[in-house]
Amino acid sequence: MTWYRAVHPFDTAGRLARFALGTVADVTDALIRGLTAAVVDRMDLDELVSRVDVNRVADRVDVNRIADRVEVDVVARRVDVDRIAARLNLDAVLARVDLVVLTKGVLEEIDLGRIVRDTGGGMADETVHGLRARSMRADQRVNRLADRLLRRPDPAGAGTGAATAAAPADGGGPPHEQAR
Amino acid sequence: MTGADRDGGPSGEAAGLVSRTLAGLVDAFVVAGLGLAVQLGAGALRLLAAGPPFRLPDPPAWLSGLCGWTIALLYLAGSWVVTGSTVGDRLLGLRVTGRADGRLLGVPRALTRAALCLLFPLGLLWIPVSERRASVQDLALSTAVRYDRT
Repeated sequence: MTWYRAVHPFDTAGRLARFALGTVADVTDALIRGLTAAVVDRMDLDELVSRVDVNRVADRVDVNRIADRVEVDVVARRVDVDRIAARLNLDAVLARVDLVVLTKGVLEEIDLGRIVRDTGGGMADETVHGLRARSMRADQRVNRLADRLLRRPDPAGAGTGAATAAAPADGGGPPHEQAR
Repeated sequence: MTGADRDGGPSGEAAGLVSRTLAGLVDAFVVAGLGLAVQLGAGALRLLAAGPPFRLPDPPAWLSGLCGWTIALLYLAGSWVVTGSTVGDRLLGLRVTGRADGRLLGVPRALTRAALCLLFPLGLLWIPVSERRASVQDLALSTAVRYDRT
């Protein structure tokens, strides 16, 4: 800075103006801080918050829009599941579970005994029915053979109606037709 | 007691040779089992009375035969009197009744029929020859064996 500029009236006025503005800004800041602190100290914030209708505010919030903006995959990638699992105390959880009662309840719900009974009974029933049906068919074959050998007429009404009814299916026809 | 049943066969019809033979075979196994049970029971009684060791009784042949014959006789007659069916009959779906009335046999007729069946099992072979599908025993005692699968 030369002596000329130091004494130049415009420059001097500018410097003085900048100094004054800086001083005013500092004073204003200090004043605002002091006033704000005084106002906050004298305000009952709890009462103020209690006067806010949070539900109205919540109604105006578009949660879906917020959710759309959340990158769930990114969040999930940042979650360390192993670390969370390592912090779980599974023994304590299992100790609180009554496994005996739980198992009993499950077995009662399933009713395993009934399933076994039904399955076993059903198989035995089918086996017996099959045996009876086969033996009856064998009876009818033997009866038809005997009727043919003895050249006996159709014995309908003599207790062999079933044999007579089944004869055509055997391909041989009723005994009386065979005898002709 | 006629009409088709769930096995596809007509209940009340006279049973044939195959069904009755199979029922007889099953009953033979049942009688064998009963005989074994009697032997085990006799052995257990002897164990209780005379102490160890446990041994099955070894009676003479005539006594074994008599016991077996008696067991079979009582088993067959008892089954026919009480339910009309032995175990074999139940399995094959058969029932022994009087021919005329269709009722269960009385004790004398059941005992006689059981004795005849034991003495002359080949009497079953008359079934195909008979027009009413009767064995020799059925003809002698006026009994009938019918399908009973209801």
